[in-house]
Amino acid sequence: MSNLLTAEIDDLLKPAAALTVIICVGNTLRSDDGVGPYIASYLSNSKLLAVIDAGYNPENFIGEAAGLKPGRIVIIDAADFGGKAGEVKVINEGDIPGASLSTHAIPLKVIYHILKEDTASEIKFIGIQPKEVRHGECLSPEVRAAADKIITKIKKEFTDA
Amino acid sequence: MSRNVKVNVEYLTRVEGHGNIVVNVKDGKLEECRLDIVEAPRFFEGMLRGRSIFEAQHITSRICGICACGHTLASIQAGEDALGLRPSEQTIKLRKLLLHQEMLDSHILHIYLLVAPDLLGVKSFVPLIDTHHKVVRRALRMKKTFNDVCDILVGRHVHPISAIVGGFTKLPKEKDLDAMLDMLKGLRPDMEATMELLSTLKFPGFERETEYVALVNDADEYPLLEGDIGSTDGLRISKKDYLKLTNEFVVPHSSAKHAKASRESYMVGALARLNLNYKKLHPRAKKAAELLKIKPITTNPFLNTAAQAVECVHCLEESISILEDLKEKGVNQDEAIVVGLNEKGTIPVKAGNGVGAVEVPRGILFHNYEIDKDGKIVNADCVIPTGQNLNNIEHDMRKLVPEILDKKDEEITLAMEMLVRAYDPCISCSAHFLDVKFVNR
Repeated sequence: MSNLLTAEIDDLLKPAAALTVIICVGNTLRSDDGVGPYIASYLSNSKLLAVIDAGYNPENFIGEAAGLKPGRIVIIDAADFGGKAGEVKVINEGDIPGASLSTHAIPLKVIYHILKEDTASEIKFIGIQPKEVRHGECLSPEVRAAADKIITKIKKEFTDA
Repeated sequence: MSRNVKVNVEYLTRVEGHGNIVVNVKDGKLEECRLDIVEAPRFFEGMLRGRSIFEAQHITSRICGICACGHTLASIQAGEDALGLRPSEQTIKLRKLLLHQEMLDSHILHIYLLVAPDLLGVKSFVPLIDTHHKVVRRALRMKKTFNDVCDILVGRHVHPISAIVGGFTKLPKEKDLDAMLDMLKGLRPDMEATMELLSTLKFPGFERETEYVALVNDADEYPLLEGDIGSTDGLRISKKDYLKLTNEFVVPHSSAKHAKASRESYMVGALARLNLNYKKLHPRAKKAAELLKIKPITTNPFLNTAAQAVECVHCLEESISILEDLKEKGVNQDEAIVVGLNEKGTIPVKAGNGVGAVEVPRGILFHNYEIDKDGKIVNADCVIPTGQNLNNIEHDMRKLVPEILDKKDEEITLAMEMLVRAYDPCISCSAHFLDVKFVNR
């Protein structure tokens, strides 16, 4: 199946020695782009985990994330990397897009750079290949399945931690 | 100069929506120069038909993700005008405060994200992280503050929830006023730094005198929320007569209508407001205008960005004044309106026709609703600022191209793009627009 989590992602979603902050990004009115907030809605904070639903303006949550002094920051967002719908991949720093979907939105690359400067954290970006990003409030079955795997994984790892 | 130039920008970047610039110069003669608007119509007026006047603002705010508060306020004003309802002084103050936040948020984003890259010689906002680190952080800090204030005021920073016909469903408490005041006062150094930065940047030189249109009034206040329609050509009419201003007409290359008033075209927006109402700006804003060397009548459209900066100072200071006033007098929580569509009939409903005219970041915005005896919308008309500016932009383009024919193609293209960007067009709202096509010079 295309939405199996790789060993690299598996490791990223395990508790680290210090706090992990998961920043979920996306617009719930644009179909699969809402996968980030969907994941956030099923997660709760715990001793080693803080979850931020940053919606469509992640730039407004930089201070909150940095203020938690995390050991690791994981940004989860829909990302079109040409994979199969629901495929989950770690996006390398150089591949983070410099452009924005909307003219007045801040590019994720800018946010990544500032987080990197403001924290001593390891920062990783997990992208989920969307099937559809047109106006709509539902996730496609493929993307929902991938999101559910991520949710299950995080819940299991961090609840037991 | 017998030169051929062909510009075809398809689509123009760093504007909202899709539009193309087409320029064709043959043997030194300008044969074609237009701004194609290629976005599909939105049909919001159609969507409003049959809907309650008490929910119109929630629908029309979706016209724009940037001017959501402006559309909300124009919609509410049109509804109240149709119902013959005059809001309380407290409500008017809070609405002005809301409008200031939208003006600030939109102007700051335009200045830093869309215009600064051109003036600093880079292709987008992203490279500024390395070269202008403090500038990027300042822009993000300012944007977040205005979003946060808006959030406190109306429930979220885009598509307001609590602003409705009659007033607000939730009113700020004293701790909210304190929080907003702290945030906005704390932003003064960033605002000063913004003016200093802009004073070091060089805007392109170009002059074209046109008719400038904005809200005007006989009071001392810089009119943004209320007023008559005025122009530098001496026009002064009631907002009810807005059709005598806009005179919309269709052109084949644009899915957005064009407009004209006393002459071939007119301009709305920050520069038009400043040209008409300069004397009413806050003293600190006037100082900023002096620093940026802008005063009435300024006829260089590239300086619309500088006028936006001046308005930022004005709106920040006015916001602080409003909040201090509300804090001193206290917010009367009894004025809160019950959530819903006036089910209990608290607000008397009658048939009527109402107009809302509000200055939003890109210029004067009109909403006009005809409602039946039950408060249902029978007809609606929304005239968006960018739509009013399109004709003026094309006239600017036609004057600018012959003046820069000695430049390289890429320089001409950039100049045309910068000109259109200076208007901060919201093409999606006007119907949508931008892309430059050179067809031979």
